[in-house]
Amino acid sequence: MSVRTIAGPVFAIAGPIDTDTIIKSRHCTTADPTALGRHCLAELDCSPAFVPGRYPVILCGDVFGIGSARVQAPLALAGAGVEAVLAPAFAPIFFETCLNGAHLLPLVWPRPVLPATGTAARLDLGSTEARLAIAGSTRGFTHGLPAWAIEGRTWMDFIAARAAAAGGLDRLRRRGLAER
Amino acid sequence: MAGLTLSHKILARAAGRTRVATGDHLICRVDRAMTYEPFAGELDRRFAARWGAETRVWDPDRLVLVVDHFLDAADPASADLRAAADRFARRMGLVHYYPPGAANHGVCHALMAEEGLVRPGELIVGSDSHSCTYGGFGAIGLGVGLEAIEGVLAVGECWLRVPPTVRIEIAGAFAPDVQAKDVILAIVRDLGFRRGLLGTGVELDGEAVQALHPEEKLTLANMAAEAGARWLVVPPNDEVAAWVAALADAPFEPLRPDRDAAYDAVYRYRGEDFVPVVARPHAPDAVVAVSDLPRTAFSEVYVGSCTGAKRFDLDCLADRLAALGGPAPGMRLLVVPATRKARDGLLSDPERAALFRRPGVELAAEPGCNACFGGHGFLAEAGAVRLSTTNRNFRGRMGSPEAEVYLASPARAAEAAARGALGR
Repeated sequence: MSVRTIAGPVFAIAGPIDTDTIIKSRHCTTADPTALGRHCLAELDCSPAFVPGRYPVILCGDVFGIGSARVQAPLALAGAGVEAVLAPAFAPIFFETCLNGAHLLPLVWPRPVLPATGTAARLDLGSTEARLAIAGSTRGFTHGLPAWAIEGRTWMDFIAARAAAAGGLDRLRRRGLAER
Repeated sequence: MAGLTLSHKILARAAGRTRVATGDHLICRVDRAMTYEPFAGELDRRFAARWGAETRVWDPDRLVLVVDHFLDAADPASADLRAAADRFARRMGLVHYYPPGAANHGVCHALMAEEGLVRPGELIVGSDSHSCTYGGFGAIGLGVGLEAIEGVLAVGECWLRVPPTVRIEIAGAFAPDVQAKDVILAIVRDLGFRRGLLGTGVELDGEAVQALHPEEKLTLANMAAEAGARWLVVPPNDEVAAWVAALADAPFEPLRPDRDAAYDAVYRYRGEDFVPVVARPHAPDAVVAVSDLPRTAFSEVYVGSCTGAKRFDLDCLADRLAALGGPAPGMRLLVVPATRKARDGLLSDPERAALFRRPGVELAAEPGCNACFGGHGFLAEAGAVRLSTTNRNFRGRMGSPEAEVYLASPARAAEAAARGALGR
């Protein structure tokens, strides 16, 4: 059963993509996603160029988010309207920062096939499985993301909700976050 | 059923499970967390806003707060960060707060190891990419972002997805001139990032590795970050267990991987495969053997950081430098001990102390990160050709983008300082 659906034209890039390509450090004087989003992937050498606000899904053929652990990189992608990135691998701290801040969903996609940029896609996310429908074919894969991330909550939202359910932070500390 | 890797044993214990497997999502109870002054004020604000000004962190004895990055006393912004760290430590009643002036202080990772706060079998998170250093003592050191640390402060737990585990085994023995820095730079060159280690949990083991000094194992684990690995852990031998037992105030369980543990990948080397190397400008994986390096004259040598200025590193520098007759005329030798204890150790021997009072040698007054990340202190000027014992040499990181920075071991640093050059 689908928990979340993301649909729209895809932006396809061969990769690898490092955080410096996502957002140059000279634009990192702000933490405002909208301001950062205007410069997102701006100097990527490809045709057609990335246009902020147009592509909710990025398909990348190689590793995504390597380089400096730049906290502005997920913010810039989110500010540019990107809701999910599919790539065969992600730099670990980039991957976790995307999820912890609910900026976007990094989905490990084992065998990338890149369509043309602009192709319409529909991504259905269940609790463990994802389905990508694009160019007349549908492919399923296990996304392995935690439920709170798929639901669009931050890690701290998840902890706060668990604390409320437990009857306060002290009780949650004694009990632990995991459902053991 | 196959045995467990060391990483899986540590994670299973932290997650309260009997087994874990690659790809599992875990919620883990951490044994310790480390953060520092660049984040202390922000964490303090976020914590108070969410949980109220009267709420303390999950366990004030398990949070280590260090002031090490911005120590330029003349800089108001640095003073503000320090003041915010002071307030946070006071408000939370932190036992392990290490500002300048504390009995021991300095670069967080070296300090943690010296203070007995890294113990085999533990899971330790840190808000710094080099938190992987703790793997040198048989712990998983997990570098995490601000939100993850915020969560740990609240509940003492973090989540992670179990990465593929990789074993690198080095049999035989290293040549006497080969140091941990040479070994890890070669691994970064061979296996770093897209060549195999990106996002993996690495176990580095074998006869050659286990013969290294405990602090050399910290150097190996430190540069897991440059290989793109999630962590690197060296299974603790008896020497490391005894080393830590002498420092720690609590017992620990030194876990080791099962003999039949199943890894996602295994790479095998022989100690004899390794030679002294340098990383050329401007990347840690631009690694070449010193014997293949065209003769390169250095204007300065920088010995500093959690990677290259621990007690072992400084002892090595002093011994080699003394044997080679001291620094070459005109050479600038810039020494930033990683910690106060390392600095005190260096100066406690009158002969060594005299070596570091020679013309051209500058010994930083405060241990800390200094120019390693380009914060302040001994920054590289335009045109400088610097040999550095640090871990990253990206263009402009240590100062001017027009400076050229080479990475190497403390032994090579001594040689470069004494001869003015390395290479053919």
